Amino acid sequence: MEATGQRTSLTQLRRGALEYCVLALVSHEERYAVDLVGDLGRVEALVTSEGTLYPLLSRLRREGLVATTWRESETGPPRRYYRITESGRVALRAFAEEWTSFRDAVDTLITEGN
Amino acid sequence: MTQTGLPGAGAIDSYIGRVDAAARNLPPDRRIELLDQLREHLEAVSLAPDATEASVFAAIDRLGDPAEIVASEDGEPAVLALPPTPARSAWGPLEIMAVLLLIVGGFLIPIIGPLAGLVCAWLSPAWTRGEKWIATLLGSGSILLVIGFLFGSIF
Repeated sequence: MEATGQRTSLTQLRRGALEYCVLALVSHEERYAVDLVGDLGRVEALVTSEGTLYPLLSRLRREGLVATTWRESETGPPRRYYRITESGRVALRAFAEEWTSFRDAVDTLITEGN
Repeated sequence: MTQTGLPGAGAIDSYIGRVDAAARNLPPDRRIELLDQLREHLEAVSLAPDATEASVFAAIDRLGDPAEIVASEDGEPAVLALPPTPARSAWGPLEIMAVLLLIVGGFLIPIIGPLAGLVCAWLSPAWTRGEKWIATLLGSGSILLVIGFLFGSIF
């Protein structure tokens, strides 16, 4: 039971942080969906399966935090690219500030506790 | 359908089919978007110059379990929400009284009975304005009928 509870709260933490990691990854330049998902998928501490990133990307698009564009490719069908929007930037900045103080507080408590 | 001849084309179609089945309760636009994204992803892998069956299988593995992907469509309801039931209270004593008085009230106390029924109907919080007018038309019919009889018997 204890292990299950631990997994659940880690899942919640991951889920909460992940969308801001996505925003951060598309904040400098627009990214091809397949590369973006591949990069995120390699971060094992965050992502369990690459496929679950697509519903997340769709939700961020519906919320207006990222935008998609289609670009022609030389080798195949048009490619879907993601980039951050202005409200995405605002959300990312707000999270980054919150995150720093949250992380420091948790670090302090955990270190003291041990 | 993924272009046949590409490495892993059959495996891609079968994987997309499994996601499609797992996503059958998603709203159609979300389901179509998800299937498009996953197919594009796998076709991109399959179109790579050094692609092999094995590299496509590995990409399918990394995408993961279709059920898990569909389940991650949360933050919003993952299944179609049932249409909201209209926020109207069920018939209460007032409405039952109105119907009874409008139908049989005239036999008990002519004119007064159906009139009381109309008052009940218009006081009802559950009935819409349209329904109250229907009750009024039906009710006043029985009142007019009694008045007609009265006049008929006098003159």
